[in-house]
Order: sequence, then C-alpha cells, then structure tokens
Amino acid sequence: MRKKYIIAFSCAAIIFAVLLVLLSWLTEPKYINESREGNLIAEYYREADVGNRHDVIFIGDCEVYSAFVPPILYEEYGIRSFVRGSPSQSIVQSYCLLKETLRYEKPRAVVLSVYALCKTEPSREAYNRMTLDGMRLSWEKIGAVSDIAGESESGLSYLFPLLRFHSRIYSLEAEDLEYLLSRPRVSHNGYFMEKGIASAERKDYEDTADTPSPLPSENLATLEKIAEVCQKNGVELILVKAPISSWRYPWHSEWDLTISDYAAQNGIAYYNLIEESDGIGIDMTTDTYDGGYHLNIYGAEKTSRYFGGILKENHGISGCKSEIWEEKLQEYYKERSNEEN
Amino acid sequence: MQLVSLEFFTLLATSLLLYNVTPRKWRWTVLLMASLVFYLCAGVFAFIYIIVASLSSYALALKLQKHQKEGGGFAPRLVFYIGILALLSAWVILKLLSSHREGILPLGISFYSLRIISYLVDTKRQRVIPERNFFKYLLFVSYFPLILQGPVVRYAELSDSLYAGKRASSEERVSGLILLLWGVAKKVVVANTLAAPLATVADESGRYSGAFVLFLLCFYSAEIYCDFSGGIDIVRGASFMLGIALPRNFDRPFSSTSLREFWNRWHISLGEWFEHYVFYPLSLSRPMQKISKRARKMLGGKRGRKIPLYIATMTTWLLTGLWHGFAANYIAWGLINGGLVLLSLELSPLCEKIYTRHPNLKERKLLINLFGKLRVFFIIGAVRLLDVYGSVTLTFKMLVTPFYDLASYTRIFAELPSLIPVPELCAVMLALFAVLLVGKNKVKAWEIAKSPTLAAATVLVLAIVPILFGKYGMGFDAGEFIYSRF
Repeated sequence: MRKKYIIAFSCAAIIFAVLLVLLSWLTEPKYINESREGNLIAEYYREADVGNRHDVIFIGDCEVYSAFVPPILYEEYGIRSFVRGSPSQSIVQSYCLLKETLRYEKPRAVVLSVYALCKTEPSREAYNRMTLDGMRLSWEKIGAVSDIAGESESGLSYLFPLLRFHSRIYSLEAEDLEYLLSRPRVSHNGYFMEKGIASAERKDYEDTADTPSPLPSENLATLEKIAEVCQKNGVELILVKAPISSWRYPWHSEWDLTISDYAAQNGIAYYNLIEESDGIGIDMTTDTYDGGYHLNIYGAEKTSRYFGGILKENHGISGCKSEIWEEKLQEYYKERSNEEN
Repeated sequence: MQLVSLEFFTLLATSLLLYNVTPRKWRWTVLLMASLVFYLCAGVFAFIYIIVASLSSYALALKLQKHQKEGGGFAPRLVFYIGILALLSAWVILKLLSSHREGILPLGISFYSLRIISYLVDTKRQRVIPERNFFKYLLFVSYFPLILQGPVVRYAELSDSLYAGKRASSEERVSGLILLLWGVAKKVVVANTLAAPLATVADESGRYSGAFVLFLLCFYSAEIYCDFSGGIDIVRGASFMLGIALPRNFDRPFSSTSLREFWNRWHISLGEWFEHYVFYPLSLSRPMQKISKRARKMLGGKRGRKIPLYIATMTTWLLTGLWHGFAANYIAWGLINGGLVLLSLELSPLCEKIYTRHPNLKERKLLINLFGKLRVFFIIGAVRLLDVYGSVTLTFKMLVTPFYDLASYTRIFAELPSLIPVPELCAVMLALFAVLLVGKNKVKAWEIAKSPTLAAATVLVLAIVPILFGKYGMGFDAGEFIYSRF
C-alpha cells in the first residue's frame, strides 16, 4: 500500500511541477505589446544555447542597450558582441548577470556601464522583474534575488513568478496564449532599436549645479567584485559611460573623477564617452528619441562605430566574418529600413 | 509566523521529518522544540509570557494535587482562585493595553489561557492527573498548530496523543495533507479574495448602504467561515500528519435550522469550553440555587425555574463576547446572541404548536428547512455585522438601510465590479459551491486518502487551485486570520 502511495504521489509531484511551469509561463507578462525591453535579458540564452560565443559582452542599464549596436560593431570591426542590458539595471544585478554570462562563455572583454554606480535607491519591483524574471533559474539568480528583492517583495516570487503573477489568470490576453512557448525577438543581440527623434531641448549637463552625493560605497564594493570576477576568469574589464547626460540623469564630474581614479589605480580602462561626444559626432537634436535621455539608432550607430575603434585600437579586439553574423546584419538592416520606409 | 506562510510550512515539514526519525519516547520533544521556535518567532515578550504562565500553572496544579491528597482545606482553594484570577487579570490587562500599544498582546493568549484554565479547573475537580514533567506540560500549553486559533482543546483530549509519540500511518498523513490543503484553499481563495472588498464596504458605510449591507452580511459570513474553518482545517491537517487527532471545530454550521443548533455547530470547542467551565458551574452554583428558589416563589415553579437558565445563558454569552474583545460591539454581540438563543428556546414550543395544528406543514419539510436555514443565516449574519462595523449604533443604523435605500439595489450592479472584479467573484462563488458540496456530501479526507490515486489527484488539485486563484502576494498578508486577532 505504501508503495502505491509513493508512486501516486510521485506522479502527482511531476504533474504539479509541469503545471507550475506552464502556468508560470502563461501568467507572466510577455512584454510584447508594451515594455518590450522586459525580454532583453532572456534573449541572451538563444545565443548561449546554440553555442554562439562573443568577443565582447556589454553589461548595464538602458544606456548600454540603447547605445551599443552589435551588428554595427561586427560590420565595422568584425567584433561579435552581445548586450546584456535591462531597464534600470542595478550594479548588483550587473554583477550577477556577469557571473551568469561567464558560466556560458569567456569573452575577451566585458564592457560595464558605470551609470548604475550612482544609484542610491534600490530599483522598483517592475524594473527588478525586467532583469530577474528574464534570468534562468541558477545560483546566480538566487544570489541576485537575495541581494536585490526589496522588503515588500517576496524573494520566492522571483524564483517562481507564478506566485507574483497568478492574479493575471483573471485578465489573460490573446498574447499570453500566443507567446506561451516562444516570443518574437525584440533586440539585435541585446540592442533595443529606437528610431524616433525627439531632440533634447537644452544641453543640461552643465546646468546641474547641485553638488552630488558621492558614489555609494556599496556600489563601489560591487564594482570591486566585478573586477575580481573578470580577473579570475581572464576577461578584460572595460568601464564606459555612454555619451549622454541630462538634467534628469546627470553624470557629474565628481563621479567621473572617482571612477577615473579607481580605474587608474586598478589598471582598468575607463572611457567617458560624454567627453568624446564631439568626436563621436553626437547631435542631440537628431540622435535621441526621448529628449536627451537615451540615444536613438542614429546616435547608437555613431557611438558603436567610435567605440568599436577604441576596442580595436586600444584593446586589440577584432574578429572575423561569419555566416551567422552576416544574417544578423541583414536582419538588422531589414528592420532599420522597415521603420524608415 | 502565520499558518499560511512559507515559515510555517517549513517548520511543519522539519517537525514531521524529525518526528519520524526520533525514537518514540522522545518524539514529544520535537513538538516542544517546534512550538518554542514558533513562539520565539512571535517575540521575546510573548515567549517569556507563555513560559511564565505555563510554569506558574504547572506549579499550581501540582500544589493543588498535593493538598487534595492531604485532605484539602481552605488554603489550597484560595491559592487556586488567586492563581486563576492572576492569569485572568494578566490576560485582561494585556488585552486592554493592546488597544493602546500594538504588538503587546502575546500571540494566541486567548486560546492558551483557556487551555490553562481548563487544566487547572479539571485538576481541582480531580478529572485530570497533573503532569509532573514541566516540559511535557509546556508542550500542552504551547503546541504550535493550536496557538493561533485553536481549537480550544482540553488536557484530557490532547495529552494522550501529544505525548504518545505515535507515528501517523500513510493514510493519516495523506488525509492530514488533504485537510491542510483544503484549509489553505478556503482561506486563500475565498476569505482572502473577499477581505478587501468587504473591508471597503464596511469602511465606507456612508457610500455603501442598502443592498451593499445585504451583500456584506452574506459574504462576510462566507469570509469568516472560510477564514476560521480554513485555519482549523490547516491546524487539524498538520496535527493528523503528526499523528495527533484534534476534535472538529465546525460541523456544517450553515445547515442549522435553529440558532441553538448553529451554535452547537460553530466554533464547537469554544462553545463546549464555556458550557463546561462557565454555564454549568454557574447554573449549579449555590447562589444560583438560591435565586432559583426565590424566583420559583415569586413567579411560580415553571417560570421561576427558568430564571437561573436565563442568567447563566446571558452570563456565558457576555463572557464569550468579552473573550473576542473588550469593546462595546463584542459585548453587544454576546448579549444579543444570548438573547436570541433564549428567544429561540422560548419560541420552540410555539413552533411545535403550529406544527401540531397544521400537520401538513411538516410534510413540506424541504421548504421549512430552507426557511429555517435562511432565517438562521440572516440573523447570525446581521449580528455579526457588529464585528464588521465595530460600532453598535452604526451597525443598527446600517441594518435598516436595506429597507429604505431602494436605489442601492440598482447601484450595486454597477458598482460591484469595482469592488470585486466579476471573474474573482465567480471564482469565489465556485469555491463556495465546492465548500457547500463537500459539506453536504460529508466528504471526509480519510475516505479519500484510502485510495492512493484519488488522494494524489485531490492533493494535486488542492495545491494548484490556491496558487492560481488565491489572493496573496505583494501588499497582501495572506496568512493573517481573523480569529488570530482575538
């Protein structure tokens, strides 16, 4: 009799697990009709699962996924890259994503956006979700959840999103069924294409007169850990600040100095591309889609061409042509021209 | 630590594991450790309080027994009454203070204080032999599944299975799991979903009157039943899995056709406790016999005999109301219920007369039963609004609005979806239908557990349903039970 119970309950446990996964997929937001950036983190696994390896991995918040275009880096320099960016990605999340990425591959360089280092407040749940829900279940994810989940947020619900999104069962939409098993690609190797133009009305970088608070020490400690992980894995760490600064998201000279000093002391390359804006050719009347907060495709392409040159010249990173990447390039230009038409 | 929480389920799973690998003689220590961990999570003050209350009542019971062996006398009786009074005073003071300072009331004090009192009284009455091992006694007082909302189990009912260390059979474990999950489903799917909209209706009484009061009356009954009985199912299920049988606390209360029947089916353990330790001792006390004698002289034999019954009933109900809380609404709740029970008692001969005069009424049993059930449901629901509105005057004011606020009957259809979305309401209705069906067909967990396949399928359904259709998550305390407030 006991054996029968064990068999019956083992079967029930398996069915329970399968149902849990299916229902989780069904109820979690699909990020297709809105907040498409929510899919960026998960798109990396499409590459990783088929064994595509990269020369460079970009990690960071919206600054990386709106400023660096892997197809352009490939086209110009043969550099194969992927952008592991997500909205409002915190430095701790960047650290966890880096560790996870290094389990799949060892790129020649990791380019980390430094903007997240100035954040003093933890990210809102919606943003945490766009990073963590996209991550596969792993020790890195568990570590990220325990580090990141706000007090009011249930850490368990990041590991089992059904616990958070179960109430969506009452408001399921057609897209929930349509994209139950697979979702369309929303990026080009992590680059999120935005083609609109909304010029920045004023150049506010100089206008921010307030003395900023110093970069939080815990963020700098995380940067230290990132540097250690890279060193341990034989991966070069490159720090970068995207060529954008606005009154809402300023990048102060005091912060820049802190990072420069840190980079110099530790032998890490740091590029503040704001200072290179003229060299890049950034024109904030045409190269931003939201009034100066993020670069659009035109600004991103200019930045990628410029930064690709730095990677090649200063770090000796260049690649070779490959069929897969030629296809990626074609897809990129197809989408680029689609919108323009 | 709430009953529906990861912490509680982890504690239960760990206890189950350790309980089954520990030698039988020491299994009770596993339960004690789990109970102490549970209680430590409630705070240091709560922990110290339960230890002190247990230690003093343990010593008092042994002292009583010693004096009883030596032939009794006035001193031990005095010590006994002082002990009971001290316990009650501390309980009352803490309860009064809790209205000014949140978190001061030790977790589950209302439940374990009753357990301690019953233990002391039963010791005095020589119905139980006091426990000599303090730690075993501490386990009786603090047994963790019972802390939050009972049932109010007496020492004689619990001690044997608590200390025996019996390992539950596969069937018992499975039936316990089914009962536990059934309780979680009732709590999470019905009670939690209804909690917020009903609180809104009650809080905004100026806006939600008339038909909304009827909505509140009906659905609050459903909420509190699923909340409380769900909690009890979790407690009983957890205990079954540990091989400890607990008595039922609910027996399909909404199938009652009279108020007395309802109270025999609702919160059975509390009713029995007050019956055993308040109603009977009071009815049979010397002062009451004197009152009875006088009343018979003044009002005649038949009417005079009823006076002690009235006094004892009203006192019992008043104390039951006070047990829920020291507030006017709880006192009113107790007195109204006592009055209604007596009225129901007085009117029952009249009903019998009507049946005798119109024998064809008895043939329409279905209709009469339905009328009786609806009458009980609405009366109990109406009195329960005292708990919802928290004010006696407001409750009576709101109870008359369904008779004149006729516009609300059309307004409710337009406004209800904003209070509770229609799909959620449908899910609640379906769940309530399932609860009624299970009750009506007297489905028993242990019967399901006999068939491994059926049991596994039931567990699967009961595990998925609350996860998918339950109300919990961010900004919602899924584990908080209404009765854990008392």
